Amino acid sequence: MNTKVVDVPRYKNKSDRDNPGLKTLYFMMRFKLLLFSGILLCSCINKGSKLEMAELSLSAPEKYTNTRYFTEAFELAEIVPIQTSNTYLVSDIKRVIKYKEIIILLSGSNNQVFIIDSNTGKIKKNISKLGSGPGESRTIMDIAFDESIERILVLNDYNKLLVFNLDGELLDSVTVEDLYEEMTVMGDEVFFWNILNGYSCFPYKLDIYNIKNKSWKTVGNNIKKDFSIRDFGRYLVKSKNIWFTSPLDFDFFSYTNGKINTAIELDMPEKKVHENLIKKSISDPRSFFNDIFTSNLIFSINSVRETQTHLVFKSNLEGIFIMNKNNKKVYWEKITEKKFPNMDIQYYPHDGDDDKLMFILTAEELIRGSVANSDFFNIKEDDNPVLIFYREKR
Amino acid sequence: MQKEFLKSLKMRKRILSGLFALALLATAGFGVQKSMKSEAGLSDLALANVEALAQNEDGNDSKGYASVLTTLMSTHIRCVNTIAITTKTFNVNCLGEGDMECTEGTTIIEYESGRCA
Repeated sequence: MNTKVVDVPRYKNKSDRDNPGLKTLYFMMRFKLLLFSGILLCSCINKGSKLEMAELSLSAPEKYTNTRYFTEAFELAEIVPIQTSNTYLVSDIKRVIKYKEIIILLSGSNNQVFIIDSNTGKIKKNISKLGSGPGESRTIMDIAFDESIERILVLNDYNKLLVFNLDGELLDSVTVEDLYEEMTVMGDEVFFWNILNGYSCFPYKLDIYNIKNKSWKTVGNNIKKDFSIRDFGRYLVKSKNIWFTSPLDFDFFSYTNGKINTAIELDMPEKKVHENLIKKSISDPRSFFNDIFTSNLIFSINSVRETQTHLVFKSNLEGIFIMNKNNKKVYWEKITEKKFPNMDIQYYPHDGDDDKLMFILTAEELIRGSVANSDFFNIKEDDNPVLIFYREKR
Repeated sequence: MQKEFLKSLKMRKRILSGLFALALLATAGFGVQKSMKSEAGLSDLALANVEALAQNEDGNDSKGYASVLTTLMSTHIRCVNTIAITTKTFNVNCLGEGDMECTEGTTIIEYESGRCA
């Protein structure tokens, strides 16, 4: 019988026994199988959450301040009080797209898509239809606007991508394979973010549909997160670039040169949500929220917009973060507008490369803050909100 | 002498093979247990979440959804006797078509958030 002999390392000379390098080498060779198993075991346990190391690590202040950096860097550009009528009611804003003289707005609760004149605030058209027939939607997940051909894209939870022109005519309907949370478009490519499945999602990859050649591709990693809580805002936003973030992650991802880059990591370890609390988000959400807000923890960084010299974003805590791209300094401020004193205005990211930032002032807040101002706009409590745009100072 | 050495080698080979197999089994077993744990846990938790979160607005229970999202909608702060009371509103949205039970609704949380003038 032919026996195969395993080459077990042996010391050739007596002095080799005292050589620490050889000792380690021999030890590793003897136990290479065990080491291999150990590595295999570790790789199974450590699922990993990052695509790659961030290019830039940023430190932020511990809490928001009144440094007034925002007013140094930005100035008021436009105030757009959205016209109210019984048939055109904006419930909660889900997506705002600014293009030339129009604003395209997705109203969340009532699943309506409005085209608004950005000079007057007048609602020109409502292009969405509720129902289950062709071109109709039950829940609109997101909208996007293809500037090159002036088409409005509507993504609904029937897994349909509907294509409308600015007159509201349905031109095309494309079936998408999965239920995506958000969408945007740049060039010929439509970007679909975050497949939803039960209480889980896949926030580190983008599925990309090319409108011209009708082909699909995927970039990023298939890492799953069991978390279904979202903050007020958007996670995938188009400004100078396409930026996106993931719930429970302090990394910022951008899509450039055909791939996802982990561009920035926000270094705020004391604000991170612990694993036990994350589990509570499903089993006991009320307790989860109580812990989050009483301990000032961050479960979401989102709504990233890039202007010429700034990167602006928000979290589930109050205030907005403004990063100066030149000196990489981060400010965390609560923004107030002197035209609307004592009123809360909420930053909400809009799609469009216009070096502007948008804030929402609700009619309720306007009335609460100042009767004089509500008279000025003739606004009642359940009226449509006011959009306030700031532009970057040159 | 050589026979003994070969015997010792065979023994080592067997021991190492045995250890490797044991490690592999442990790895696979751990993976299966972990996956089973998370599946079972999620199902229970999912049910608890629907019960905990949903305050039905129109009284109609809906069935057969693919996913559920809970979104923080608005924050209001009011001042009561120099204490700031923060109110946060969350919407539960039932999405897509699938096997999940889900009821859309709104949850409101109020807490003391500091002092105010």
